[in-house]
Amino acid sequence: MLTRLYIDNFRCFEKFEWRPGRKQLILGRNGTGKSSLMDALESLVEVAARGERVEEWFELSQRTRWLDQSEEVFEIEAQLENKSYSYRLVIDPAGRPPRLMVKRETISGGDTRLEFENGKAAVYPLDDETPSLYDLDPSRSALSTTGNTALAEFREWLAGISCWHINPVPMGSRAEAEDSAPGVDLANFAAWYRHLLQEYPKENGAFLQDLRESLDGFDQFVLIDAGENVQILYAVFVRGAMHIRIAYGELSDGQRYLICLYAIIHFVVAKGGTVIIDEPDNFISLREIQPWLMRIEDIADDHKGQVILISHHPEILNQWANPYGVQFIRDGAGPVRVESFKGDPEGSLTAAEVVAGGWDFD
Amino acid sequence: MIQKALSPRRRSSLADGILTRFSKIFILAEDARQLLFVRRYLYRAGFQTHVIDPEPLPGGTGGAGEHWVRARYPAAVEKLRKRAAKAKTALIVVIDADTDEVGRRVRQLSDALGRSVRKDDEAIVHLIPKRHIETWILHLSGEEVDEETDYHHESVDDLIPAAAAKFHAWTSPPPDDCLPSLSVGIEETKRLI
Repeated sequence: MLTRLYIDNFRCFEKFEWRPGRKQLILGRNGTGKSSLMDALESLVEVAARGERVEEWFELSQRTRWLDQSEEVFEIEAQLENKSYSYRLVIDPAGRPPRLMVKRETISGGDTRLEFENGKAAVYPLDDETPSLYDLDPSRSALSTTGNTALAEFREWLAGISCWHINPVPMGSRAEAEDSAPGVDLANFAAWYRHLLQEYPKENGAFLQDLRESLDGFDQFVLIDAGENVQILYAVFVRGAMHIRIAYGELSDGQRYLICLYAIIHFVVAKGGTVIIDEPDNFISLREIQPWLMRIEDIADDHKGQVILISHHPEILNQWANPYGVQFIRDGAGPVRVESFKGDPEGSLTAAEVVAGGWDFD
Repeated sequence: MIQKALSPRRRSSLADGILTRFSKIFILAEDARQLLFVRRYLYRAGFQTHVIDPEPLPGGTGGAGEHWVRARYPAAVEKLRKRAAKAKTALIVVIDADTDEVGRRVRQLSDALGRSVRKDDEAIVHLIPKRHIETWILHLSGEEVDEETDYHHESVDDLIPAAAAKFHAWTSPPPDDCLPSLSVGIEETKRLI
């Protein structure tokens, strides 16, 4: 799981340090960096784990406005079973016109160390003081290409960190292929589900069972051929003896949103993954929030998954803010800092009442 | 004692989790661990997440949770009674006995209700672990514990699912060496039948 994140010189993050728990609720007023945190993590995953070019995911304009500093620094610490990993990436503009490059990159863990600086990479294995040396293009991360097994384990975990900002509006019914890479907004849910159905039939059973509890009359999903390699995703509802097929895109926004939330539980959290979900309470009815919240907590507990929620919803605040809450705080337009959520010390107000009344800052 | 109180038929019902089909079960608890324990117990008893409705959890430290439960107990009972008039509804209240006696917590809860006392046929369950919920979790996990020692800061989260499953199993009936407060808690679950 992610145990530490450090960001310096990225938007509103200046020497920002956060040590998340396995279950965490991030609270904060508007403009306190909650979405920027997701953007930073997403970019870091693309560069360090998926091998994308630095300049495709980071921009010079994202550097902190009030700092006269060239380098941007990102650090991640993680605990993967019994191994601890520590990763650091420093990016800096170079050349004319200036382009963002990897200035320095280090990772240690699994008794191995990798250092990358000025286009030279060195891997120091456990019992061999002689490093393997090789040249690399500094526009990409060295971690993303290393063949070292211990470091690849960390890279795979990093690639599995998923940030979600679900948007049901663009979700359609067509699945033109199996897609193993869900988008951050899950607009490609139909294609992702086509992939999941093939890969994870057991998890699919639990997923469908939860949907039967949550969506009145829901029975199952079917994918129907609709031309060369194209399939259409339908939800099947039961009404008496009738089975009614409704194309996924015809479901309500709330239904599609809820389906995605349960899909994240059963296909991501149940794999022990780290997920960050922005506003999971959007679109769904009040009675569905608590059951989903309990389910994601149970599955995270059972499978050692890590769940980080960003929410302002009273139902979520009242369950998660006191035990698992942290606040992102900014003084004016200054840097973000993180503090544990301060509930009512006298124990008479709910967490939602504390936040709504502004007492969490007083 | 509890074994004698339960008929074979009732014991079987408890063990199999065939409890009365409540459409809503409210839970009023001091902290997340208590809540997790009760939820896991209810899953074992056959209830789904849509039936379970936790009340807000308190903030603060050093006795704030116990105060929270007592303060919110009358409103929770009133909510239960309103809903129970129309549909099968239960309320499970969890409050640590701490260094007090279980009986004192029961009296405090009763006093909080004033004249509208808990009736024998009401599905209001009091779970009062002594000293804390961690004591029960460790005991149910096979650890040797007593009700005087403070285990509040023990790391027990990973033990909760199995402990709750055993709590459910022990309702038919508990072993002879069951902690006194836990025996009382098991007896309380009969209100869910």
